[in-house]
Amino acid sequence: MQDPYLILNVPRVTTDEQVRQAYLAAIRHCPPDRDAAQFQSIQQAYEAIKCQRSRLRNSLFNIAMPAPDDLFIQALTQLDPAPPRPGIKLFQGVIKNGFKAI
Amino acid sequence: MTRRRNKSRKPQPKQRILSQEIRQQKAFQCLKTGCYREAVTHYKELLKLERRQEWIASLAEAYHGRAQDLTNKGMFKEAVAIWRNRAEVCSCPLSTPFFFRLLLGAGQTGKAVALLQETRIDLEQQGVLPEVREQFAALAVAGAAEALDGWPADDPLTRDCPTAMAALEAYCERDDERLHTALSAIPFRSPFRDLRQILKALHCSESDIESATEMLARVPETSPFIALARAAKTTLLPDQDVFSRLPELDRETRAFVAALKGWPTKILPFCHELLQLGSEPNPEALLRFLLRHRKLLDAELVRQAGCRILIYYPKGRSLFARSCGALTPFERACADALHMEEQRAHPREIVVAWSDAVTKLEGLKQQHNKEAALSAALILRHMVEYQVRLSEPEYMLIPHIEQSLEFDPEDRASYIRLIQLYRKGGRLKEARHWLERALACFPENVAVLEEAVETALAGNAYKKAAGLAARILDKDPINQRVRSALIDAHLAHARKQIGQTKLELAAKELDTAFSWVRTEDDRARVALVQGVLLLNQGEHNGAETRLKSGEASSGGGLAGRFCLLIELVRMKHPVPQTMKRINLPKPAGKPSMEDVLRLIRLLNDRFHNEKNLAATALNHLTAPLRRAANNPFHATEADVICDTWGRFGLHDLRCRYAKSALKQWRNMPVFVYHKAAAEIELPKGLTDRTFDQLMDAEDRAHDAGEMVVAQRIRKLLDQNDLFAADYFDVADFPDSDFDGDMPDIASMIEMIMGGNPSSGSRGSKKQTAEEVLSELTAQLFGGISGMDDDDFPFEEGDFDPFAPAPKKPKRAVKKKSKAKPSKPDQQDLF
Repeated sequence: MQDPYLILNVPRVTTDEQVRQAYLAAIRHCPPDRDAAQFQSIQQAYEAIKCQRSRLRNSLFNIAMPAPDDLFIQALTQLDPAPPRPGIKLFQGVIKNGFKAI
Repeated sequence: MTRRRNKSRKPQPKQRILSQEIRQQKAFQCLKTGCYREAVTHYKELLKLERRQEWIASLAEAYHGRAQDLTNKGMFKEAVAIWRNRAEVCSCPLSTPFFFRLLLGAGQTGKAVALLQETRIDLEQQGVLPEVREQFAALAVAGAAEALDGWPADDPLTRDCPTAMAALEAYCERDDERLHTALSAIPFRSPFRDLRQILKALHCSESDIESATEMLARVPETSPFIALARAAKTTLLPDQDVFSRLPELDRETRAFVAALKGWPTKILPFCHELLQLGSEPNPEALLRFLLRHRKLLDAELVRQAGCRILIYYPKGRSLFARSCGALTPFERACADALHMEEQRAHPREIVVAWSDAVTKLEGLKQQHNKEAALSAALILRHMVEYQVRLSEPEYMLIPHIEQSLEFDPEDRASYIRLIQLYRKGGRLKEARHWLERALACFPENVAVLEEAVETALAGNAYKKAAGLAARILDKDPINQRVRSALIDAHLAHARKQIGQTKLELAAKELDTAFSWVRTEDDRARVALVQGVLLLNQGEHNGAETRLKSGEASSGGGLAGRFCLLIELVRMKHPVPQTMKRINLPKPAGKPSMEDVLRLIRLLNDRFHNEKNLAATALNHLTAPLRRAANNPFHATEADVICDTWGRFGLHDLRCRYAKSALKQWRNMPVFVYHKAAAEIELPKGLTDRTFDQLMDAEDRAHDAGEMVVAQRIRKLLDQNDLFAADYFDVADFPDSDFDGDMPDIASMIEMIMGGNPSSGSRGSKKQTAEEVLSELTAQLFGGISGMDDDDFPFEEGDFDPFAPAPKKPKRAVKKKSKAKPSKPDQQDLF
């Protein structure tokens, strides 16, 4: 994931304080000793959008192509979630397929 | 007609008849290395010779391995056939838990049930029935009603199946109470125990992911429910990780995972299509995908993402415009500039493109459009970064930085950069103006105050500098840089007063400086100036003590002596006489490597702004420094030393150290360069031999990938060679309409420029150059019929290809005054 807004889980129209709170929550959830790479990406995301100047700089000069997983997460956030329980048929499909993957 | 050979048919290799021993060895080897197919062939051949028990057992093992290989490839039907062969040829039991897996994998449920009914008692006697029962339990949960056929009513499978199904239903219907009851009714040894564990973990995962992960880890890899456990484990990951794992999953598992994650059903087709694009999609495909699914995404996001794709796929603009509306002039200009950046265009083109973007920024002229102003400021600063790459004089950066601060006056870094640029250029008035503005925005900022100290020092306003430095130290007492600057300010003030013979005031100033001293280095600096003051006061004994103590505190050796010398030179004391007066002998013997390196560090750290003064002081140390040249320095150390002597104008020392290094590393390009660069500056000038060595060194540096050295040599050659790029550059020729002929002309120019400068003598090169230029001129202008002299595109004197090159430097530069390269310490002119 590359999109700093998605990494910090903040809306595109946001405030410095919102970003800061999201950053603090993210590093609390993922301290450097747990996942150094993720921690680094959180740091970079924070640097990219921590203030209005950074956010504008990011929108003006970011030349990275949109990453597929970013688009996926974006689409996911736009849709209403379904109740998180599959039907019996889905369970049965997975078990049946399991016989083919010994 | 000749008879055609059928080429498509490969000749069959002759079947080699192997001896029994060799075949046995080969069979064993194949079995050992997992080549089961070949092992089966060999053992079958061996069994034709003799039905030896060990061979039968090995063949059975080979069949098992082969069947396993086939199942790994999903070829269950073939594996079933292999297993049947095994049973037949090796007289092994057909009905085993593995065979049931093969049958269920092949979808031959009926056959599995029939075989179970036939062999259930045998399986029970062999003690493998529980394993087979688990498989039938999974089959029953998967919805195969026949899975329960052939099992007695009191069998755990038949008994627990309704409870397991009830638990599953309860979970799917979110009936947690019923789920709890059903799960607790499934016994510990039930064939449904793994399903119970999975359902428990899934229920738990909604509140405690770690516990759920632990529970799922307890499901054994051999369990028939393992696929379900793995799918459940995937759902415990964050959304983006699940997305990245989706390609590994089959369609059913994806749907299951999506449902467990609570993803809406619409997302799956989007997901499937997105996954087909790959992890690094083609820009065109991605743009088309984005536009096709734009309704699923936020409109603003689609626009931003689309604009970023257009950087890589500029042709897609019309496609984008059809769905999202045309790009605004500003968006188009930004996309152009970013496309150039992505294409690594020349920095100048990028600067021009961004400059165009600023002019197209909507709302910039409206007074209160903060975002437009900030955007303009950011773009201007971005342009400055590209200007830096152009190696233009630094003052060229100033207008854009100033303009950016007009748009966004709250950028501290820009103020600091601007102040430093003005100070470096000696334009203290402007530096002070921007400093005032910076202080108005950031009155208490240490970095800005530090600039204020430096600016005050640059203007000899020592008192002001001291006041500002004291202010910083109040806020930041451990700021050693400012502490040193403060001491420097007091010392400079004291020197000024010594120069004006205000010796008492100077003493007071030095006492104040001493009160700020915290380090041995600062103590040494104060002691040395105090020593000079005492010299001026005629107190030679006191001066001797102070100066010696200052020299020792400065580290002694060459560095210490240099610190002492520089104070004497600064205060215009005659060095030899003073040294005699204070009983300081000249440094004797050969200084050590460490001693020289300490001096080099000192020069580079502290005296880069006082090169002339330092060079004068160093002139009193040339004898010991010459003696130290043949020390066995490391190559990088020797390079730094040569570089330092060059920057301080000590060309004799540079030449000597380079020669000494060349004795250690014969023909090493970097030292050839130093030697040549020094020789150019010395009265003897650059010798032909060194010139040839330099050309050779450039090639070798290039071949060895030492691009920095190659560039330095090229620069030196350009400054001193007739065919240098300074005189002619293909790029300097204006664009022409001569489409057809230009490549030839360009290649001629390339030839003149000397693609291989080492080839041919200089005289012959000049001659060739003149000939080719004459040909070129004839082609360019003479060939145009009816062209009068008046039509000649250049004014007289504007361009004359045969005119002597301006300030033509001789290769063997005899005098320093000719073609002297600009001094490194020369500041940018304003």
